[in-house]
Amino acid sequence: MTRFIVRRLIQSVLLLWVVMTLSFILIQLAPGGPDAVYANSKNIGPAEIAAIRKARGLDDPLYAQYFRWMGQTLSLDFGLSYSYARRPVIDVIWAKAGPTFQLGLMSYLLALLGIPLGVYAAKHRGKFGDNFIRIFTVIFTAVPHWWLGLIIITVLASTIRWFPQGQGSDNPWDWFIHIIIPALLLATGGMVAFTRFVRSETIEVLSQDYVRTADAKGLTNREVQNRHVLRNSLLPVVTLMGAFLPLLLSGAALTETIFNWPGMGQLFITATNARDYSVILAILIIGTFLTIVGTFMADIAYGWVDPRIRYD
Amino acid sequence: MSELTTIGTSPAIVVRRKSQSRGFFATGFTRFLKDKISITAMVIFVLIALSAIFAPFISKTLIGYSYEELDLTNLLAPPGTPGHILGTDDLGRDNLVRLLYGGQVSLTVGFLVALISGIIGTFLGVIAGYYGKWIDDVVNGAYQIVANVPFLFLLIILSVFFKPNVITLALAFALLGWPGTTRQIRGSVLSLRSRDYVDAARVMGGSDARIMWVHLIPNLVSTVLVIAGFDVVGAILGESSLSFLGYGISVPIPSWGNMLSDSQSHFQDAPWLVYFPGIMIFITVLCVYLVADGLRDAFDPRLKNK
Repeated sequence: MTRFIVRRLIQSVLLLWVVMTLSFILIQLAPGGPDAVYANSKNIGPAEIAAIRKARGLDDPLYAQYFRWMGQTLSLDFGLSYSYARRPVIDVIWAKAGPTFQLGLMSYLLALLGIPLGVYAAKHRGKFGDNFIRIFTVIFTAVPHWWLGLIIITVLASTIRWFPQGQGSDNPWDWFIHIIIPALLLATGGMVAFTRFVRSETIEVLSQDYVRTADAKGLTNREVQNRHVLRNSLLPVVTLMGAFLPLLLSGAALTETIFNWPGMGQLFITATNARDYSVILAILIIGTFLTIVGTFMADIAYGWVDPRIRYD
Repeated sequence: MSELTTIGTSPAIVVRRKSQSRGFFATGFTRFLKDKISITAMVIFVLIALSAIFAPFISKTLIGYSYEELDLTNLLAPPGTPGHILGTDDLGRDNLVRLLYGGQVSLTVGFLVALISGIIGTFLGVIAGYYGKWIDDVVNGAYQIVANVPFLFLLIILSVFFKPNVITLALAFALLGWPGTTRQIRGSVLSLRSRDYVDAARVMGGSDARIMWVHLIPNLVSTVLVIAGFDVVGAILGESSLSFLGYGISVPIPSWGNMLSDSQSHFQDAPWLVYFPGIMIFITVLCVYLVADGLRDAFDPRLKNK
């Protein structure tokens, strides 16, 4: 187990290094070069550009720039934001992390509802409930969740003249009615994935010999379900829990924009509209970092709950 | 399968029959054609595709407006207005005409992505599964990189740096989309390469290239076809999200995504601008999904209800 953790840790660090290197190349490729990334503004003159070039060391040889950039990025120094009153990029992002965390966590919890749905569908395979759940998953695969958001806003606005915009106040009820619709929509992708995955895993396990044996031994249905079926069918779900993270982050950009949710996704879009390159690249790197950490933890958790997994 | 069958007791009447085994693909497609849902989806999809392909003809002769023509007497006209069956947008452009043209963008991107990522994904999946060892590690490494980057963020950055057209957009999607194909193809190759006929081919002196091309890839065609279907689904949804955010196809050319983007400022006075493009995305994606799903069931009936 320790060996496996160390191995996965080395892989994750390597992965992060590759992604960061690619980001550095991306900055060099940006139209106007790194100057544009750090100083994108029409009002900026040659004097300011020279000052920025000096401050960020853009006149040094490329390899020196690369190592310094790596060091700065690892210490979370992404430079100054141009569109947010020249505050440090990390402060701008940090201020938006809370709302995104709330929305993400809420969506994650809602998406996990797919697990009982999948178990239910597998147990009632081919019956009404299963077919109903199946239609539900097919529809939510095909419909863009952000368009549903637009529809909900349109319908709510024209009927009860209310649409959930922004984060709501500190009042728990007000907070809840503002977060629930965006969180539900953001959760649909994951919920569908969990439902499908759990359903097929459970059906697979139900046909295993040890389940038949357990049945034959005369165990009650409940005992067979809980001890023999669910225990095995729910294990692989852990891996999917890590894979859902990038989906959540990408979805947040759309959901937060539509519902005016003051989070990192919305920040990413407004920063992109303002061509605030240092902010958008920082969000890309942080988002990738979070995903790598999430996948790493999911893999470790999988190895821990399922001792059959022997990685070597 | 016997070639000759005698009917009755008289040996004089001999009926020559063809082999009853019609081959893997014929059987699969026959099974597909018998599935009502798949066929309905297929027909609707073909209709949408035809309407997109013939969008210039339909809009010119049947509707009488081009996609950028402004009808200034009919701004934000609701559906049912004479001359504008599905209404107009805030500049008086005909909604139906723009929907037809939007289909061109979505379907072109969808199919290009499926084609490119199918080729890349199959190639990498086959060599990774067949050779294993360091090639497998390299492919897996590339897979990990792509799978861990929030793809929408990266696409937006790329789109800001390099203004995309339909082709480059499809290329970007494909370069981020191949890992799914590679994973599944690699898995299939792992089980195929230990089959007896592969061993036999190798014993007879078949080269690696020949084994992969003649013995592995033909067995993967149905898998690739099904994955390609799901790739089209992902690409159409992705293109519309990107265009909706304003970083896909640029504005004068209508796409369902950028039409929805424009509709946002009129969701109270012209809700039909919100409804129709989304309905088009939904129906198109649903049909492609059902066709891909039907193909999978037809080629591998064991998967049905799984």
